[in-house]
Amino acid sequence: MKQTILVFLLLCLFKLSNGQVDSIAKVDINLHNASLSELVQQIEQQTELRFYYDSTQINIQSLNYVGTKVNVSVLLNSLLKPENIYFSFDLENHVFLSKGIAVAIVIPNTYFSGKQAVSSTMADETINEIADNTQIQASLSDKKIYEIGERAQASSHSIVTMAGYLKDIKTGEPVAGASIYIDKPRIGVTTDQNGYYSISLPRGKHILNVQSLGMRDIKRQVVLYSDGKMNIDLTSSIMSLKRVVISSQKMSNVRGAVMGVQKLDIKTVKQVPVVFGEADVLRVVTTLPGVKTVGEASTGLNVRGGASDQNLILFNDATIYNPTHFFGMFSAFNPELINNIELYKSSIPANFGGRLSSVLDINSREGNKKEFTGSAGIGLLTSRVNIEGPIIKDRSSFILGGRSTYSNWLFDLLPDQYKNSKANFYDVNLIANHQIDKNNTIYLTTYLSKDQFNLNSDTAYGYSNNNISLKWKHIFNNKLNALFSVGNDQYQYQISSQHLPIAAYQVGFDINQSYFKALFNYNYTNKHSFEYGLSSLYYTLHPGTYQPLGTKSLVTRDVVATEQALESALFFTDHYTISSALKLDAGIRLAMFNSLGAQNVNVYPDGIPKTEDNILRSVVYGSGKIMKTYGGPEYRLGLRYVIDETLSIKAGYNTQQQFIHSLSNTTAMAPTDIWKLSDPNIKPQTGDQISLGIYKNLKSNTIETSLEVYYKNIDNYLDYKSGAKLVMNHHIETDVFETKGKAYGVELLIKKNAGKLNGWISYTWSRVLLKMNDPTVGELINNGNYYPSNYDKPNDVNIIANYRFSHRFSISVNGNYSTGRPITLPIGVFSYGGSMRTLYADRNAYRIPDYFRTDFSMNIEGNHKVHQLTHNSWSIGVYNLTGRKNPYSVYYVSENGAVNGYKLSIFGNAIPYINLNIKFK
Amino acid sequence: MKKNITYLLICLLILNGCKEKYISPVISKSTGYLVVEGSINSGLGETKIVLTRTSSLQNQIINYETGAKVYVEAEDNTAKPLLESSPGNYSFTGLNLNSNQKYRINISTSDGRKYVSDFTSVIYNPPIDSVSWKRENGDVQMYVNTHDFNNNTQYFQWETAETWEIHSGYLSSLKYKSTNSAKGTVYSTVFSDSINKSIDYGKYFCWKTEPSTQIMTGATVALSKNVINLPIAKIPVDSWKLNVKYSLFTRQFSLSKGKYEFLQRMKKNTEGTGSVFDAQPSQLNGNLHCTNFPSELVIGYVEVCNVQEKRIFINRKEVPDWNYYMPCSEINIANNSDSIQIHGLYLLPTYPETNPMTGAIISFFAAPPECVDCRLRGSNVKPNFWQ
Repeated sequence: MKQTILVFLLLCLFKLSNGQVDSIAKVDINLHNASLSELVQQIEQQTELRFYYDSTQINIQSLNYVGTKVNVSVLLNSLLKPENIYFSFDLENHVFLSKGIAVAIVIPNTYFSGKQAVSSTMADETINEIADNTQIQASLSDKKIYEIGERAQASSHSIVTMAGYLKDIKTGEPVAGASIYIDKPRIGVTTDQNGYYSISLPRGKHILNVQSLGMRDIKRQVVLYSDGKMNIDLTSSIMSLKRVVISSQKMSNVRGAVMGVQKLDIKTVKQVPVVFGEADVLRVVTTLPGVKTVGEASTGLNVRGGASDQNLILFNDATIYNPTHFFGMFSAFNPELINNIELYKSSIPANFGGRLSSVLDINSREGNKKEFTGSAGIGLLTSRVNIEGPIIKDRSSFILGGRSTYSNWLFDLLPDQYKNSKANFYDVNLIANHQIDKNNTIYLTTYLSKDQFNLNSDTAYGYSNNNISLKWKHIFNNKLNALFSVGNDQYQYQISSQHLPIAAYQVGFDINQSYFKALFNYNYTNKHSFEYGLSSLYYTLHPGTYQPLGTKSLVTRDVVATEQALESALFFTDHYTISSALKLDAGIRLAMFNSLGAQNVNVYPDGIPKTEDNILRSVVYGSGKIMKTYGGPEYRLGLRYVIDETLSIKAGYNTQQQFIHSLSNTTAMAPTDIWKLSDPNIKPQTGDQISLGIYKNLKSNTIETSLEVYYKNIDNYLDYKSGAKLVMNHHIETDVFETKGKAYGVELLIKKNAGKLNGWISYTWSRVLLKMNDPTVGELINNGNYYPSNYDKPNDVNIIANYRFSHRFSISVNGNYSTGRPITLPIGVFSYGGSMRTLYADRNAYRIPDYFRTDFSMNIEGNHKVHQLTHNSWSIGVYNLTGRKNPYSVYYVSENGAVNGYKLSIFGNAIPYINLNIKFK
Repeated sequence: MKKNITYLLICLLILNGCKEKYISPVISKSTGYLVVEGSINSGLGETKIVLTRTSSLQNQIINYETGAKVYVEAEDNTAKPLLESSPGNYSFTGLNLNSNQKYRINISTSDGRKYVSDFTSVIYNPPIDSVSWKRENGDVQMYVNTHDFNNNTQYFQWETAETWEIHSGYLSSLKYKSTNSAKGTVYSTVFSDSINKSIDYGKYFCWKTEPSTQIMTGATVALSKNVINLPIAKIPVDSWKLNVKYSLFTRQFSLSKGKYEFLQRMKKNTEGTGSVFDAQPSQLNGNLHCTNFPSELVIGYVEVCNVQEKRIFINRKEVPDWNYYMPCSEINIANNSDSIQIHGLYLLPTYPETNPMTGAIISFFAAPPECVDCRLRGSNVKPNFWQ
């Protein structure tokens, strides 16, 4: 198996080495009264370059040139320019010749700026399709010189600020995360999630470069006189020119001061083969370096040694407490509505807080502002429909998406005992935005996901997320803008059973939080830009309600007292460009957590474990009374040093606090996990992390590589006493204790964003160790020594590769190898209660066998004619291609008097799938 | 619930072969910790304490601890010895303890180690109201019903033993007889009772007893009334256990919260595993300690209560549509050594066809042994409680 991986790696590396542009190739030329075709022939013989042009329009005779080792670009420039013929290269060594008014083929290299190409009849039919009017307009503006500000006003300031929005010219959607920069001096910014940018530049003439993932690159010639505005429309590069896309990401890979951030756009996510073919953002996140999961039945993420409750999962600023459907098999995010995903695992921006390990920021798309469109998808288990369109053309739009399952057919395949089972889930999103005027925009996001499950009709089970958020973006001036958000997040679950009428019960849990956040961006000078604001979050948590069900039930109603708390923060970050090479992001977050009444709080003596027997007294707090305040500063530091254009090093230091904890003594993230707020007896978790990284881009920035190392401390992480009772516990502090943890690792990522072959290889070596050595808190675990956590999987390799044979057909392969996770194996057996039983001692002393899986998928697009009602695409694939029975767990169970060991795998076979996607207007 | 989900997931996604036998590559060392099982019966019934030692995972045998001295000690320093009735089983019937005293178990093993449990008071144990049953999806599901409106006891444990009557598929009056001669062994079929030529009912009526292999506990803390109605045993539909008559014997123990949690933990560790959301296995800290080697692990939790008992019978006639039949068939074999050797040695003879003149067995019917001799499936000693 190791050989397989090695061969695969080598193959990938070999393939990656193709695809560099040959524009600077040197050729020997000997032309006497030659025709254009002879010139082309001579170049094509000596290089990888292939020429495309319309010979009926471009026909030159009598070319004369003799030279050796001539640069092709220089050669073409000198021969063709006098004939008013333009040329352009793309990344795959195609050269397009054109005459007359130019249309840009996007060119990655500034070397070719100013030379335009008309897309006339070319070999590639798809090039034709993009040559609509908008295209020509867009490219025409490349040549135009934009004057910003008032010439007369030419202020005394040598630095002026320009700002504006980046939009997709076709749909009117904002382009988030695009980079806007000038080369000399090197100054750059990225757009925020609403497509807004603000950049401070020296007065005078500049060439503004705009690059964004999935968009064609653009240049603008600007002359800056004073502060002003400029909106820029970008053209998406969906169909023909995908290969020319250079992501802004790779630029930020080297240039940004933030480290340990991974960004994925939804197209990448959709290419990755997944079980049952449901494009799944969380599954793809688990293939990134530093991200692990305990197994296949869990989408709980373990980021850099963090527990699965240490991730803040945000969907348009709304916190999603349970991001899964169907007991963790699928993530609860509709892929059709998502624009991109950002995972912060090291330098977490100061405006985020409240979780130790990571922030997973999932951003939705905005609806089409020009016309009504929609899409539908049909899969084996789920279907989805999305509709979007303008409410007021060019000013407001909406997008409505829903998914539902019809998985019940699966139950009919099962043994009789499951015949009566039913599973249902759905999620619905409504996202809308409205531009009030050019300085004010509001955004509305609503999210609902619901799961229901009936197991053989006597135990009903359900959980749901409900979220609403409203954001208002206000631009004060070019230098200052603000984003205000308010919202409410809810998560609840309930289980009910009617099997035994006298004990029929319903147990429920819910968490409810309302928040307000104000985030200001102040572009102070071209050296300093500030991000600051405040946030406040009010929690109401019902830890458990246990009540009778039905008239015969003797169950007494039991309610664990409601928990309330207020979590507030002030934050400030200075993005400080010290020099063109050195950049510092210095952030501080002052977080405060007030645990609020009404509640009865037990007081325990110090120095001995908290147990029910040693409760000293109980203190009664009235409603709204502050019972305990925790808090303190958190530091977020990021430093970047650029060694050259393609190489940089970064360092980061981060501290975090977490005031809400999930209670789960299971290894996987279970849907029955409940959450607990810090209170006078439960301290907040704290963590700090130091990390260092080196970033190098290769092959004209088409390949990015990075190597990051980190070391992390975790304090007050909750662990559970033997036999801990977590549900309906009125004094949870007697069943938990605090442990320490440390995590360290090395992460390597090689990513190719462009070309026919794209994808990434990630390798992580990491350890996560926990320790419980304080006898005054509870029983020692493993004699107080460090022991590996449940998700300590030292070696982890992921390969995601996509190869595009044509515009309509591509294949994707996904490979994953990791060390088996630790488990506790019995050290012996004994006889009790009529059966042999297992005896356990040291925790997590052994490991389950290693994990290896490959998946494969084919994506087939229908034809690409622009003007047709529907566009169809198919994805067909196989999950777990080799059918390997990867162990999920190993366990021992007493059956009929004897102890038997079993190895459990979630997927025991190769699982084929097929999915149909339809886009309509 | 969690476990059910798991099975469901497993079934769903695998449909076959997701659960495989696993043999640990780790050779566990032999631990040999003392395991103490049982309760002190404060009433007139039997107190039984079973002493065993833990063994290794690879070698799953019960190591009985023999030759130990076991006492029931009262707080006033009086003690009554338990006697080793069979290896590792220490018992005494009729302790009749004072419910105002506290008692503990005191064990001295033959290697000189001393173990004691914590002193515990006698926990009131209400009588079992009834053990009832009803049909559920064809199965016979039995429930234990108990109440204690004085709320003295809220935690319970039950141990059950099933006994059922077995009838062979065929009545038999014959047996094989072999004689050694110069030509080798010669077989013939003869009457078991050569005088009366009667049917051998010792091979027809048998009984089998199986104790429960699961830990069964119950608690009423979440209920408004201290009432127990819990499933305690199940006869799967069409099982052979109810071919004739079935009996369930139930012993009820009242527990402290501590012992209840101890048993729950043991149950979770050993019976509740195998789900996708398994909890971490936890350590089993009971109420026994080794006094001269305090760090030594002892497994066990010994308490005192008046053990309550209940026996019920279920007759096949009470359970309509019970479709259990032994898959038996007979063949006819000529009564000569060659025929017997070829056709009959893996069968047992049942009924003869005799020469009406001589009474000699000409041929006989034979069927698979388990259809003829019930002792292969149980014991032909009728239990003294059998009605």
